[in-house]
Amino acid sequence: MFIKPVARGARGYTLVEMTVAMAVFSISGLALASVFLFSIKSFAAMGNYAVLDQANREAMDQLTREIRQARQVTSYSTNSITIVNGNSLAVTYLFRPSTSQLVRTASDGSNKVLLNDCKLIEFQLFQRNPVSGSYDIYPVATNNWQHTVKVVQLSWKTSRLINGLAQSENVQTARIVIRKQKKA
Amino acid sequence: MRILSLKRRAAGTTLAEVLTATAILGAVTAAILGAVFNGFFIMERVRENQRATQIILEKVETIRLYSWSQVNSNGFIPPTFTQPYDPQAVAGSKGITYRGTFEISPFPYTTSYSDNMRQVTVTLRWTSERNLQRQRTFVTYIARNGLQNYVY
Repeated sequence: MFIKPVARGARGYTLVEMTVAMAVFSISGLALASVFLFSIKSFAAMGNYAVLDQANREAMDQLTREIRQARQVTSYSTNSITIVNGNSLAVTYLFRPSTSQLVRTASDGSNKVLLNDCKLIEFQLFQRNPVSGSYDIYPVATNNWQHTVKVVQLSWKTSRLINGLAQSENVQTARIVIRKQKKA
Repeated sequence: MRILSLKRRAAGTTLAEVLTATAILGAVTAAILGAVFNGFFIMERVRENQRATQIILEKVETIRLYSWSQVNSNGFIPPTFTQPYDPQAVAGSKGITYRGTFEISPFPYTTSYSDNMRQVTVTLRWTSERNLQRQRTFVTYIARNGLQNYVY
């Protein structure tokens, strides 16, 4: 192996060449870096949406199934509801704003977090009579209201910030008709 | 192996080479960005579908509350409705609007009990971004005397 000496005219770069080359590299490097960062943020956001959608759907499915089969609603506030479920267990769904969680507790001692990252939740109760000319239903009576509850309407909103990169939101609403609640 | 000295004419890359490399890089970057934007587009459509399903289910769920005469009385159940994507948001940021129709029609089959049944069709239409017209339909039946004896 032998290396020929560098020809006189071909050695090194001039300062101008070097500066131009560095400028071009910096600009294209910055462009590539921003594309890379944007892609990372985008994939994080999409993953975040998917996780949030799945968690919300599962929570809504479980809650809907149990309320549909409830025997009675025994107490409620805007952020909690207590029912006697199909197996005669007293079950409470409670929204804890301090931890942003929706929790299910039952009289058999079980305790389960149904939903995290919950920002807002609202339960409303209605009786069985629909209002003519609208899709509304009359709200529960003030006296002896437990025996008039037929419809539970709920809505919640979850939002999740992932690694400071992407904020995702999910909205859920449902109107659940209790199947077993008899006419008062 | 021999390493030859660089001749002056061969030093660096030619303009054509640089342009080709830039074009390839540009095409790859555009493809990646396109894929990301398409991912967002599809995710948004999935979310709209999920919300549409909720709205339709809310309407279908309450059908069982109507009496037979209410079902057949014209206008007791309104034929149209609208719902925003996010009903809890402040005005102006409620997202897309779903336009729905609620249609009660005769039972579509000839049977001895067809007079005691009705077909209910809930249809939801909305416009997605890129002016995409979308639609979801839910069809069910309602019976005059109910289906199970535990339904009150």
